[in-house]
Amino acid sequence: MIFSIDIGYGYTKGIGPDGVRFSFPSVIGSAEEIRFTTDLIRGVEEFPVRFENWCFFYGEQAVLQSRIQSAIFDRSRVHDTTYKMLFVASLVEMAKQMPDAKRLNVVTGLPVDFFADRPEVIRSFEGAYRVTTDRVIEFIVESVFVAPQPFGSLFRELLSESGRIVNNEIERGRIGVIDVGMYTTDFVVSDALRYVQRLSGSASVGWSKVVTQVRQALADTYALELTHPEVDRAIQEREVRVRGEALSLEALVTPAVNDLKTAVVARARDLWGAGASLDVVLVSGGGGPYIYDAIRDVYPHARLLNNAFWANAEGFYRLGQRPATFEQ
Amino acid sequence: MGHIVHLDFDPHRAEHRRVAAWLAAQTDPAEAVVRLIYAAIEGQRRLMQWEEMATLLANDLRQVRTRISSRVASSSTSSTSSSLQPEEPAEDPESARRLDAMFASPEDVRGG
Repeated sequence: MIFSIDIGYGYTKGIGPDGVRFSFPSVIGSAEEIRFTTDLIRGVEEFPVRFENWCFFYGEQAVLQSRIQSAIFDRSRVHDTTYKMLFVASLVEMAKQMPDAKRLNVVTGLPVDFFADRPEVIRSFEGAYRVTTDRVIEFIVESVFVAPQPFGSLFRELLSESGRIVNNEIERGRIGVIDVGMYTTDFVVSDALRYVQRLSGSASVGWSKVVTQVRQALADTYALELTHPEVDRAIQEREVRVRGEALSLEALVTPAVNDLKTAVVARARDLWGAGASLDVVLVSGGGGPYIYDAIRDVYPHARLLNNAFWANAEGFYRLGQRPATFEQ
Repeated sequence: MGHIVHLDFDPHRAEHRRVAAWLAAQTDPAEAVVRLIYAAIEGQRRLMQWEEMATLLANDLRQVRTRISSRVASSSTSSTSSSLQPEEPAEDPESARRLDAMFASPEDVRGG
């Protein structure tokens, strides 16, 4: 059974067969003192995940319930246990939707600058899993394929749902991809389906920059202390409630987004100049829609991908449908 | 000159007793009987109209069913024949090879 998992700094996303799809904040919370808790939204009991000697909550439950939270921030993410815990949490989410899934082939991604860590990710993720939540779940992850994260977006445009090459422009062309993630923005170039590493790279800036600035402004101006995911959610909803009053966030978000635009465009210019040799620039990632206009000003041939939040996970899933992917 | 009709109801039959009681209760029994007869005739006429309309509708329904079933049969035939043909074009072997080898050995990947 093929699954794709995109473990981002902000959100972890997963796609499987028969419409299986999930996402949750990439947050792990300690659960040493709590046997179970109640999902405040759905009103059902949520059990911590037990795997080897770990016991943790993940996603929204970790944000809501755990005193000690961790997320993946630093460059050593592959060596960070949080990264592996998020992978285990993804397996739990899949088991909720597909209780019969036992033997898995997984396609996942790494940021461009960490792609050299690929062998370690494969070693870490492949193997047998025995996970306990409200029940015991057993998996065998038979094979793991790792691609640079932004290539997921490219694969979604290139491949059909069955994994066949169907987009002639991407197949033959020189394509740039800008993937605006939570903490990093990745840039890759594919030249007739050859990865051009010289023109690829990362910038240590992403949607988190906007969230952090807005969060700080809310604390300074309104003494409103919110967590990172809470601010992120408020930005999506365009407003936040302060002492019972709805406050539009536009005046706070606009300058923060402008700073992000400036940083991303500067890095793109470093790598690609005016981008004249590129046939098209694809803009992806959860932050993509917010800065697309600035990218298009520099690269008029830029194209914003639909449903950018899911683009990498969907592309990885399509790549997983190719017989050759798990033969390597 | 008016018509006088003598009605001989059978006191041993319940229906006769009920009708006799109803007729005796009318202030104008002749007018009541006329209205009853008129309603019966009108009812008969309307019933015949509805039966005629029902027959026409049944015929129309039969024709529509025949048309739909013939179209469903033809469309299922065409979809069966199209499903036998691959909708996606064949991949260029060189492109497929490049894609499948894109990250085969990351150490060898170089810019170009």
